[in-house]
Amino acid sequence: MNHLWNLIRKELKELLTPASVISIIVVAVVFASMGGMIGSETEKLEELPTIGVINGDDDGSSDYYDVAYDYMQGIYGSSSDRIIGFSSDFDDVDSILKEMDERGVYIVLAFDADYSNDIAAGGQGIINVYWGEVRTGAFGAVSTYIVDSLISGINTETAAGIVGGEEKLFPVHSNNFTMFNGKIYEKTTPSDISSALQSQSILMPILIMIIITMIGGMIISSMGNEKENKTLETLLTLPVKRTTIVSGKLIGSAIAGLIFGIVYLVGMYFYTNSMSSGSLSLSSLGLTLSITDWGIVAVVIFLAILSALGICMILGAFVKNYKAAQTLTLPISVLAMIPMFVTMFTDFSTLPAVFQVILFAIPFTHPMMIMNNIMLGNTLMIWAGLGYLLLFSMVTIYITVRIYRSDILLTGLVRKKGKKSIFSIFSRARD
Amino acid sequence: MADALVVRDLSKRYGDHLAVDNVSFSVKEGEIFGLIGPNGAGKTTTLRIISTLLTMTSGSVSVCGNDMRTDADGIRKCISYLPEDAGAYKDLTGRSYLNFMAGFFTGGSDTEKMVAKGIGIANLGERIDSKVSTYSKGMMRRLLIARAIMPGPKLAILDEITSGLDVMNAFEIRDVVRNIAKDGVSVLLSSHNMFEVDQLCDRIAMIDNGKMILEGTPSELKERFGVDTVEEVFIRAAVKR
Repeated sequence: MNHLWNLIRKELKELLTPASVISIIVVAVVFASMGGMIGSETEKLEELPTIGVINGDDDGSSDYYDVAYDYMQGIYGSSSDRIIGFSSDFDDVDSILKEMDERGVYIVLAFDADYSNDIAAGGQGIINVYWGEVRTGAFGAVSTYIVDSLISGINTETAAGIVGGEEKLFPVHSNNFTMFNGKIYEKTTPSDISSALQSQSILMPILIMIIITMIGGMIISSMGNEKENKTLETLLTLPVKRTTIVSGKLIGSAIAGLIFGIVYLVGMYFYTNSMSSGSLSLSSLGLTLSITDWGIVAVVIFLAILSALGICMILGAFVKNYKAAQTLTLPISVLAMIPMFVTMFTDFSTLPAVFQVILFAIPFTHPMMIMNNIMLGNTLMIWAGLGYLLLFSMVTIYITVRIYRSDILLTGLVRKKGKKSIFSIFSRARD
Repeated sequence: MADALVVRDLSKRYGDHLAVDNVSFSVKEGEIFGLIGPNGAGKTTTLRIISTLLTMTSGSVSVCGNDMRTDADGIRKCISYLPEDAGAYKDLTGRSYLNFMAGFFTGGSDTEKMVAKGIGIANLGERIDSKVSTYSKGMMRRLLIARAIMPGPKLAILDEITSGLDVMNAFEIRDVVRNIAKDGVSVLLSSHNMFEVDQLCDRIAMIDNGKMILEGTPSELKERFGVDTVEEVFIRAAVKR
């Protein structure tokens, strides 16, 4: 038993290093915060949305409008105060949008002037559904399903109440008008737009996460290997400037990252295309990228990769061997996963300010959002992100070069009077 | 003969620990100088400082007239450092590893000449085209010795060059070191193998607890302590401390 305990203690000491424990705690904290963030979004979705109603059905009988209204009140029950009567004319789109904006209402059901008459005559009563500005993120389309379900219920209730007419399964027809990027799209639901944006909202975050995690792991492991085999020591004594060694590692890894990224991009492009066949195309929404836009996307991705490599080389400087390198890949993976999940499920602009600041500070958020930002014309986010990435990558590269010029690369952090300090890289550096 | 290496009052402090304490010595051109001492005495730290890997806390180091504080790049051009238990890039063949390393010193047809020289020193036969990952420890060491010597350094810094090698490999590597010294290359080595130090070195210095406690030729030291081997010199000096 004593032998077993000795072996267990040895394993625990090897596996539960400060680096691995801290990484795991950080992951736990991050997932807890993300749970809170996504939870608040799902809570919002679980609530019935506030709906504006316009009764244009005033030409004669409005019996079937009453059927629909009573049905909605029945569904909303104690929350029926969320059904708000709108004063705009049912066919005055500008006025409706203005009132939606003023009242903070996202969905409006406008009943046509001949709604009841048409149903009574055996035709279909028309309900125009107006949607406010579509949010990006996987939850952006959920409200579509709630309204679909309401319309379906109104259909059923109305069909059951038709007296003396021919039996009709779908006496109500809805037309959707959706606001997206400042324009109104007819016969389009938020769900259609979300599907069209799927490649940007889901593909890009996953792709960037994969690239960052992969090249991060590669470079930290490579540094672990170099230290274990002492090839790094050999390299540092060659007649080559330290900046050249750092640049060689960074550029080599960045090229490898880009190659892997392109391969994944092609694969995932075909995957998402096959998943979203039949939905709206981005070009039909006027969302296309110019050559300059693609150039900005490429620069942002490149800077994000450079930032990732900078972080990894700083982490890699403290790695003693290949095994230790494995645990240090965790922080970079977490930093890539946080913005991936958040940008996939929610819209950055709807997050609380504190989460926006945290997300903005993570360099990998920017390449994940860049295509949406360009398409939606979020100029401030584009340039602020670009500037931040440039600054971040420069700072990490500067710190890396300083570490390569200091003793830390070989000795790690040296304890001085009970304290360890990384700031020694700024005082004991050499050319 | 001129001095290839001059170390004066060299000290190195790691936090509160003084790893090297006012060490001074010099190595002449074509001389083999050995550093001996117990584990943790400060030998490898001294070699790493001279190799420009670590900064010094105080003192001065000059290699081939280049001062460490002002011209570390100049020093790197005239030294070659081989760390203890070093390895090579495992995905490369022996030849491509030498080719990769030669590229840092020269270009064009001179690279080919340098690589040919390295292949000759390594003496690995057809295995020079095998992947480094398949090499035995002896083969790896010969490849690395070849890498260190092929650029024609003025000062070769070799840390435990024959550690863990069998008799044949150790013998061959010592022979290589003797031959480069004959060609005028200065060699600074550290070793725990007292037989090797006795056989190879023109002069030796012993470091203990960061301090240099003795220096001289093997025969001078043996005479001073009245013993027959450098190993006995080591033990007497250590006990005396």
